Formats: sequence, C-alpha cells, structure tokens
Amino acid sequence: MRGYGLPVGATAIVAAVIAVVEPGFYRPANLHVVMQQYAVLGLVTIGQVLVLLVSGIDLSVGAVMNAALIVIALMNHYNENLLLLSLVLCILLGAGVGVTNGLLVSLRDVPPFAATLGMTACVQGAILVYTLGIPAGNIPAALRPVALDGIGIVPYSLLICLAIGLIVVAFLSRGTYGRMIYAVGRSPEVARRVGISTTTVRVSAYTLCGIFAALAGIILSAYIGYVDPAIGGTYNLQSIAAAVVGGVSFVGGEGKPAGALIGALFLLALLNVTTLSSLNPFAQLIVQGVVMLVAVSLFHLVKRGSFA
Amino acid sequence: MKAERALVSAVGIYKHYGGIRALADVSLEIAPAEVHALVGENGAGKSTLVKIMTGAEKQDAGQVLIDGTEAALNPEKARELGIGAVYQEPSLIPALTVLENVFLGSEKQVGLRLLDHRRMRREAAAALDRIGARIRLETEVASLSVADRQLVEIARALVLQARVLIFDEPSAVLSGIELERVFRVIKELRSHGLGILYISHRLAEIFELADRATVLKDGRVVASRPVRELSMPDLIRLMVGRDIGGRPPRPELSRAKVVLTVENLVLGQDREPISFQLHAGEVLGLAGLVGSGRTRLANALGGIRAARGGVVTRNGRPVRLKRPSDAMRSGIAVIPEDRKREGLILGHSVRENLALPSLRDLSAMGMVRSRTERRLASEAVRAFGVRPPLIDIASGTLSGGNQQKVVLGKWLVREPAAEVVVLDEPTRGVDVGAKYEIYNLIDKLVSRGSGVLLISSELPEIIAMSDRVLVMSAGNIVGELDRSEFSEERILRLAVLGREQEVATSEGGGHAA
Repeated sequence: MRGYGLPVGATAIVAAVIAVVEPGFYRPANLHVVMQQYAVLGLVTIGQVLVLLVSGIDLSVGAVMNAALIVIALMNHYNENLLLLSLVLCILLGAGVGVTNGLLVSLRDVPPFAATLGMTACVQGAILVYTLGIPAGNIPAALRPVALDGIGIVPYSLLICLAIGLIVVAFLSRGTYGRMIYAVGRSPEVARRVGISTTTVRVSAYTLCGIFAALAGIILSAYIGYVDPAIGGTYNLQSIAAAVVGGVSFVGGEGKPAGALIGALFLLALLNVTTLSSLNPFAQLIVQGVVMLVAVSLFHLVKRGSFA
Repeated sequence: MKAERALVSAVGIYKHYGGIRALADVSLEIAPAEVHALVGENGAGKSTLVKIMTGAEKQDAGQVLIDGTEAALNPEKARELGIGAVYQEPSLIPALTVLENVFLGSEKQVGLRLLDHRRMRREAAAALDRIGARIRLETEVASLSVADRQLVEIARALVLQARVLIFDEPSAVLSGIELERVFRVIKELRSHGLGILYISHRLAEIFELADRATVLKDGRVVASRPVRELSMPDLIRLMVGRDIGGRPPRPELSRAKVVLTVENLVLGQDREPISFQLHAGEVLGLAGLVGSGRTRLANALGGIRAARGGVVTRNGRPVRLKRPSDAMRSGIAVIPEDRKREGLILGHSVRENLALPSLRDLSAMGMVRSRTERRLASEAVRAFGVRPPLIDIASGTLSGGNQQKVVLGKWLVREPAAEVVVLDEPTRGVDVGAKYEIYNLIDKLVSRGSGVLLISSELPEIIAMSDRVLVMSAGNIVGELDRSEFSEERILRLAVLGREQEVATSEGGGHAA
C-alpha cells in the first residue's frame, strides 16, 4: 500500500466526517446514487490517468461524453432498433478523438492541452451544428438498466467500471504495457532506445482514454435518461482532480491508477455531501477547484519532503 | 592534534542509509592554509562526508568540531560558522545578476526594507577582486560559463567570511584553462590562510594542488598522508586496493570471422561514405575529437538516427537499421554516452531498468513474469558487479560507475547475446575501480566472440584496449592503425589534422630527423 497514504487517508477522513455530519450519505438510496456517479467518474479517471502517465493531459473527455449522449439519442430518434450500433459508434468516436489527440501530440509536437482543447472545440462545435443547440431524441429505455439495474444495490455500471479499472490496474502494475507507459512517461529517449515506439504508446494512451470517456458517456446517458449536450464538461476537471488526489503527477510516469480510483471516491463523497447538505449546487464547482489545488500543492509538498 | 589547530575536524563519523554503510569511523581535519584532498572511488562516501560537514545531513555518530568545539550543524549554521561549499553545478539562480547571487540570503539592509546596494556592491567587488575574477556585477548568471559561476560561488562564500571552502569535484565540469583559473584561486585562498577541502577524481590534480590527501574506501579512511609522501600508483592502489597499472597484452587476433561490415555509410551531408569491418573477438577503437562523428556513427548502427545511405551487413546479410528495434533484432547493442538521459530511467528501480530491453522475452500474455525478471536482474547485478547489489532501489541513488554497470547490464543480459557491441565513452565520469571492471567486461565480451566498437576520448584507454584503431575527423574516417602503429601522438595528429596533412607532416618530420 505504499504511495496510497494521501488518497486513502483523505477518503477515510471524509468518510468519517460524513458519518457524523451527514449520516444521510449512508442511506442505501444515496449510496446507490454515489455508485452510479462513481461508475462514470471512475471510467473517465482511468483514461485520464493513462494520458497523465505519458506526460499528457486530456481536456476532451467531456466533449467525447457529450458526443456519446447525442449519438445515442439521435440514432434512437431515427430508428429505435439501432441501439447496439449506436453504442459501437460512440466507442469508435471516442477512439477516433483519442487517436487524433495522440497523433497531434506525438507526431506534431502539439502541447497536449492545446491538442485536446482544440478537439473539444471541434467536437462541441459539431454537436451544435448537428443539433442546432436543441438536442433531438431520447435515451432508449433499453439502455437504462445498465445503470438502474444491478446485483443488489450495486448497479451494473459500477461493475463495468470496476472490471475495467481492475484490468487497467493489473496491466499497469504488472503488464508489459505498463512498463512501456511508465518508461515513455519518465524518459521517452530511454524508451525509444530500447525499441519502444513512443508514438504507439502515446497514441494508445489517448485512444484508451477516448474509449473510456465514450463508455462513461454511455453509462451516464443510461443513468440520467435525457440528453444534455453540456453535461460532460465538468468531467475534465473532475477526472484530473481525482487523479491528482490519487497521487498521479503532471510530469508523467508518476502515480498509480489504483490511487486515482481512490481519489475519485474521495472527490465524489465530498461532492455528494455538498449536495446533501443543501449547499448551493453551484458551490460544487468551487469544491472541485479547491480539492484540485489543495491536492496539487499537497502532493508536491509530500514529494519534496520525501526527497529532502 | 597538530600544532596548528584545525579549523574544522570530523571525528569518528558514522553514517548509514537504510542498511547500507556510507561512512564508518571517518576522521578528517582541515587545517588553516592547507589544501586537503579527499579522494576515493564513486560511492566511497566522499559526498556523504561533505554533506555532513556542511550540515546538509546528520551523522549517526561522531562529531564535527569547529575551532575545536563541537557544533550541531545545519546549512545556515555551517555558513555562519564560516564553512562554504562550491559544488560541481553551482547552486546559483541563473535569472539573477552576479551581485544578487553573491548576496542571496544575506542581503545587507539599510533601515527596514531597503537593500544597501552601495555596501553590497563594494563587498562583492572586493570578493571578486580577491580571487582575480573579472566579472561584472550586473551580468546575469545565466550568461556565465560554468567556471565563472564557480568563481561567483566562491565570492559568495568569501562575503560570508568563510574560512573553510569545500570544492566538490569542480574539475568534472571544467576544462583546461578554466580549471587553471580555479586552481590559481584555490592557491591564492590558501595563501590567505583559508582551509580547503578538495574532492576530485583526477589524481593528477591532487599532486598539483594538495598538501595532504585522505583516501576513502568503502566508507572508511584507508590513508591520510602528506601528498609529498605519495606517488600516483600509491594513490591508485589505496583507492582500489589493487594495482591496475599493467594490463596483460591482448592475445593475437585471428580475424577469421567478420561480424559487421559497413559499406559506404553516409552519416550526413558533405560527408565521405564510411566503410570498415569488425571481426569476432576484436576491439576496434574509434578515436577522434568531440564532434568528429563518432557518436553519429554509433547512433546510425543502433538505428537511433538512421544513416543517409550505405549498407550494413551482419553475417553476410544486409540489415535494415531504421529504428532501434532493427538494431536489437540484428544483434547490435549500442551503449550510449549520456547514461542519465539515454541509458537509464533514474526514477526506475535497477530491476526495471535492467529488464527494459528484454521486456518482450520476459513477458507472457502481456504480463511481465516477475520471477523471471527478478532472476535476470539479480544475475545481471552480480555479473556486472553493481554495488550495492540490490535490484529494487532507484537507479538514481547509485554512484556514476554503478549506474554505468546497470546500463551495460541492461544491454548485455539480453538473449541472444549481441554479437556487435558499440560502447560510446563507457568509462566517462566513472571512478578508477569501475573503469577497471568495465575493461574486464570488454575482455569478457570479446572472449565470448562479440566484436566491440570502442569509442573513447581517452587515448591511453583506446591504446590499451584496442586491437585496431579507426580515427575519425570531421565526420570521415581519416586513418586506420594496427597495434604496431599505435601511439597517442599519431592518433591525435590524425584526429586533429585529417588524412592528407598527416602524411605531409610525417614526411616532413622524416626529413627533419
């Protein structure tokens, strides 16, 4: 458990404080909500971690999620039997955005924030052009059980998220792929010299991130059941904040996905409590911002301490 | 105690890092008006001792005495008590001026807030004057050479009334004239009664500069004597515990099997094509000045930066060398010059670094087989003599020589063994002991049948190790020398003047003789 001190500790403290201040958090109905939200944020965060590990950042995850919602609703609008095809299209769209991001960053040396921010503008713009700002169609009812049903209190969506999380954790900590990711993140030159294609590794990280964001978008649509072409936007900041709280650093090659998954839990618990305590919902954004800033500054403090 | 009282003395210092002993019962005195040299292999404990004497680290046991009184040091306290240090990479702020750096953290104030600029300028100028440095106070440090930065750092210590100055391997980053300037300053400071602790790898410097030498080995003092009672071989023997003077002559080479043929390789625009052959069991030295194209050739063979044209043949078959994986597949290993940037991931463990080139062989179904990996790493650490022999510590914590062994290890434990090994400055920045081990390793490589292309700027090394030497100049091969023709003078003349001129001068020399 080395290296998880900060996220585990912070989450434990929040969990304990909640138990005292806001016991409503632990009601099954609320826990169910938290699990739904976690399935979405967890997936996006895993993708974000992959990109952060190769010294990148993905600010287009929100746009991909929005696009997924729109694609599902639109296709449902024209033909209600094309659900499966629409899901495949969502995944391909996420992968396409990811590949483009990755190629821009690794072949054209575009700074990651610029590449992914540019892609965000393109994708959001395409959504507006296509929908004229008024999204048509509904989320098909057949998709909703993904989020609403489950085993006991645990929704299928969370199981999907955890399964993917587990696979990524395993491959990053023990897999060949993980070695390549960390090598490229820490020293692209050394990685290149041992025959690792830094382009392939970088593009794969952005691609997986795009795919996971699309999946998160699908799960989100199943959960909320309506189309909101701007709902994904908050996930850019949230996924980065969760990763940073979990000990993933911006410099690349530092941090573990398991830590980020705990970070996501911490962030959600905090956000959920602000909702329960009937705080101004807009205050949630402040909470996210503060969490991220505190985490970044704290993390650097901890690191400097350990090297002194 | 000696007649003149020591300015600073370390008495019976012990220091451990984790389970590793860094210093054991180390005592050392810095007397006024004395240059005291501290020598030892990388990892012998020199840096640790410096850190303790400057208050950057705390000893486990023992005392640091200043003017005979025990002092509990921290960096500020050490500075206050007159201990200054000049590091290899001066700890100055590049964006500030010389003046601002000299007084960093010790600014003189007038009244409450304002800095006393006039006084600061006067004192800084006096300090720079004292060491004969002609540096304008308004110059930004970023635009200064490393030597000038070291002088600024010395001035900074002088402004703080330092009586003891510690130099941590300044020569590693300085060359020729620059180094002489620093030496002059050190001698000047000594004549003013300062005590100097001078740490260096280069033994010749010790004899030029120091009055006394203390030799550390494996964290212990093995000798502390006046330099005039020591000879160079003495010093080397004390440092490594063995004589490395005479290496046995290399056995006669059969040159039966060619492992690498390079034909008309074009390394860049306006470069003559390069051709040569490398035989099994041969060490082919590649000499030349910095920038003569040796590393470029190594990178072409390693597929790191592809050549513009030409054919490379391995065992009779032409091979494509467009990317590193091509070279790896073709049995060519290139061990890079810059181990910190190109050879090692310093934040990775020794094990992960060793495994990186063999990743594919160590993996099954996308997972690294950790048992196999640990076995490979342990074997490599043992075979290459990495100290400490631990595979899970961060590579960045190893000394330079041991880092180099890990770099060698990561390329040479691969299976099947590389038949062509290109070593680019394998002993640069490496201590005497590790150097010796690397030479042994080269012997082992050729005796197992590999061909070695040895790039080195140290001519004695090239001459001692090679069967044949190619000399490069301005991107071209300007000469090939057999063992009978080896001489430092001959190689240097080729490297500096190029082919035609070499013929001309040697003819001219013949007439004169």
